[in-house]
Amino acid sequence: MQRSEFKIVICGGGLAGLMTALALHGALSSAYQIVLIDEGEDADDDLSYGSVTLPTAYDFLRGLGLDEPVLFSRSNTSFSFGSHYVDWPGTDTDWIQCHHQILPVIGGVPLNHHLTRNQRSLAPLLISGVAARHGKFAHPPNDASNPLSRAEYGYQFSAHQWTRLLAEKVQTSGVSRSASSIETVNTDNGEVISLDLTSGETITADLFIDCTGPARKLLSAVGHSFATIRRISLTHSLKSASQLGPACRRVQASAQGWSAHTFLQDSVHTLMIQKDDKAVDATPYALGALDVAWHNNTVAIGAAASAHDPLTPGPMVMLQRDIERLLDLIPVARTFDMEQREFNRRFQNDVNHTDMFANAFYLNEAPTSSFWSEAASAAQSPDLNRKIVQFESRGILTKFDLEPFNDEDWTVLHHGLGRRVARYDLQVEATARLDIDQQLDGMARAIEQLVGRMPPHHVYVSNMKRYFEKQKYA
Amino acid sequence: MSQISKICILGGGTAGWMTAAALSNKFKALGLEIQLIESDQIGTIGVGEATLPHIRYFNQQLGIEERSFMRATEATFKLGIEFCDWGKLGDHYIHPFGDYGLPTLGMDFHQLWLRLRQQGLASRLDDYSYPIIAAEQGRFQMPGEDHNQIGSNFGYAYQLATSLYPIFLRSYSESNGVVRTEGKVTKASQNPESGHVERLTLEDGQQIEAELFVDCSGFRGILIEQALNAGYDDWSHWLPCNRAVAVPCEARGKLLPYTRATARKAGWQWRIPLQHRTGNGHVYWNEYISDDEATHQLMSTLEGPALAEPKQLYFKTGRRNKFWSRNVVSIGLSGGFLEPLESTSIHLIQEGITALIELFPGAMIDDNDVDEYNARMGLNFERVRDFLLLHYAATQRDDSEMWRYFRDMTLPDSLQEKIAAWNTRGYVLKYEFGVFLPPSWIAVMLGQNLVPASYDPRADKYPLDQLNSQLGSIKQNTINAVEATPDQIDFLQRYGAASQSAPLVASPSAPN
Repeated sequence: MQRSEFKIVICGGGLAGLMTALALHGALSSAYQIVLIDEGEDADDDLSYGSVTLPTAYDFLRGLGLDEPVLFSRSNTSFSFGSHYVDWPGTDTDWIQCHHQILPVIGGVPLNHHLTRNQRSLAPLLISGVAARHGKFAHPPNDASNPLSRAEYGYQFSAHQWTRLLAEKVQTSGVSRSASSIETVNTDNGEVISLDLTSGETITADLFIDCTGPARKLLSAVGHSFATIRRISLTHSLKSASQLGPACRRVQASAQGWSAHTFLQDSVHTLMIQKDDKAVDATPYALGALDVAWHNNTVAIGAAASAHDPLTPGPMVMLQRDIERLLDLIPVARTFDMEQREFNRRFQNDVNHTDMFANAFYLNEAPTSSFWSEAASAAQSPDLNRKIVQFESRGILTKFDLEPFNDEDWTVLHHGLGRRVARYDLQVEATARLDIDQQLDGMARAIEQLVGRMPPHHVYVSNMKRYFEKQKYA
Repeated sequence: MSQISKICILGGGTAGWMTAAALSNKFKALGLEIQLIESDQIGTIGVGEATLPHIRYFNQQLGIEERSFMRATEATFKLGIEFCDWGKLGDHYIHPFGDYGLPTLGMDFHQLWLRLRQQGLASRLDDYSYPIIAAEQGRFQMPGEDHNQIGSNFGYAYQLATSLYPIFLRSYSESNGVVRTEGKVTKASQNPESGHVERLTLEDGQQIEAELFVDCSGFRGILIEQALNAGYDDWSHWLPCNRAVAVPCEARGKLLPYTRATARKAGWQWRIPLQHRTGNGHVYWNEYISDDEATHQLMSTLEGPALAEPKQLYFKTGRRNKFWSRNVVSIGLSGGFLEPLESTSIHLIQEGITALIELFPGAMIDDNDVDEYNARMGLNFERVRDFLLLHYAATQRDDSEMWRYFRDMTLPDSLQEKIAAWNTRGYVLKYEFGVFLPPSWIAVMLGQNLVPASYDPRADKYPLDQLNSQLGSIKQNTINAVEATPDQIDFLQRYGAASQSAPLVASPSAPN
């Protein structure tokens, strides 16, 4: 079959636009003409994506040409074993929300039940969490007998620097890029007909992709409204650092909101989240989503489609899923009703599941400020309630189809938030309590010892970069 | 910590004894008292002679040794199901247990195949499936560890005698301490306040008390429906077949590692090869065929002499509104019935048992557990329903009243959407929970002549020559791997799973 020409115009030069352009260009044949209208917009908008990713970003970024030699040698990216939450409301201890592979099953029963019975905590058994706490990092090996093989990691990153890397990739990729801005979006009957650019050019397409962030230039022109769930404000600051900090973002709660410190190779980036009327120099930000992200011939990707709480890696995983969903459903003809319906169905599920994970943080007893009470009232949902009830009742993880946050994320979160499990699977009693204690002590000791031998994050990263450098000239 | 200590299972068919076996295995160290009430006077249904690969996991958890299980139940290996005359008369295809091809270029294999096909460069998708080619030739061997290796890229299930499986599980359960009581229930006494069932009275006056009852009493749902009125969600407007007639016959020909389901004018007919005989049945909609004619159609198409009188069954497809209500959990036909077109009967029993074990009551029955159980099982039933209905909906047949009924039917949105997505571009709507994964949907849709108008444009990224040679070598390796695979009958012998019994032969007095 010879595919007829199909033109896709992507609007927006931030993370979303650049990633979408590279992903489409990399996946599609030349029958698809990809045009990027790079408005060179204020990259500060992208700070709302937060500064951490989930482990799934590894493959995704590689697919865009951003492998680790590029990320670490050409930007200030660092590793992320997770996020460290400190003084979180309703908790008496801090915890590391770490990324981890499937938790062990002992005597045919998931670890969780043994922890409940023996009244032990999960944290010392998670290699990625323990290593992060000690400021250590090393790549997880394949060797399954090594406890570190159970760790998983994402990245701490600077949106500005990733935007620069991606823009360079776009330059060399062959994507046609127009450094111009949209002056007018011409619409007819809910469809985008063409875009008038400041360059004087008028551009048409078979499919328009709106990556213009909260401006939502295309989707708002065709009359789609954004349903705001909650308004917050973002304040950023950047401080240079002589030495890279831990492989773990630090999130600190206060009565008025929370702030996150991201440890990059050369700096510490701080994001402060408060209620939207707090600080003078803060950027107001509306959390929520479009009712449909794909409308007629226009698709919204990233923050244009939905804005998520940067408390978790949710905003980045949502951006990644938006792009993957679009790749799965790139039209094969000039009518695309089916693609539109399916995209919107998956979008809705992804929005709900992404929000549910962040919402789970806000149901603890919290300070009586309006930030926390607004967050708590927006966090309620029957699905989340079902998850919490089941966990607290007997440590069961209620699951929905294709959630972005996995069982381990939820288990670590429930434990971190201090949720206690009332009952355990009686099957654990088939093994003597003392034996389990010994076994768990052994696991914790092995982890402790291994972490002791691991290099500090900053040492590991400099050695790795030296290695990359040598490879390059070898 | 404590949990309830007395449980009573009502009914001793496949559902009852599977439940007894699994619960007794799980809780034997914890002093759970398990009673099972059954009556030799009440026959069991036993239409679920064919299984899905998940049953292996069930048996493994019970520590059941595969060879002795297969000998005891006259079991054969099952690589898939062959569907004849479904898309149109004369068609046939196999729904295999396993993926097509191998993971290739990070894409869904069938998308690469669709592109080659449109270029006239691919043969049928089946040629890239080891389990299909092996099944067609009557061959079988165990898959190896590496599922990305041709010859190991499949799963398997069993075809077994449903009359023998409960017997096998009964001795397993009894050795775990399950107490079997012979008798028929005449009365279920409920607590006037809570409505919980407290005790069952048997014909001989014996009374059996328990804290939790598992209703495995079959279609009647003696506890879940007759006592607790849980209600039934009738799905006959979607799956209208409501009767079946079943009969075993002498086995003929090569022992095949697959089940066959042949579409008829008012239903469909199954053929399940066991080691010692062949199971047959005709599922039909009595609106469009009489019982006599349905029986005649079955008996006149048997491959060998019948071994018994045909047995008549009546049912209504659907599900119990509440699978678990108060202190009664319905497992098996009491919980719902979906025709055995895709061998889901035993699987749904297994799902019910797994969920019950995970949500097993503590000292008291907790409403949250009940809600969770009902939500999970509801989803299971619904997803199976859509998949079964697909067989009737994705068809060009209109040669009888029944097929015209399906042609004019408005499908559930969830299914309509799946078909539209496939037809447009070979896209399979994914979900994480539910028994049938994308390869199953692909098998049926393609097998019943739904050919996508297009394919995933990402498949165009690779040079055609490269695809052609990669797929060509997968196909050749599949042929080679099947050639190195023994006939099932030889494998059964060598493996030690062949039963000692001689093939059954019809006695002169039996009907022909």
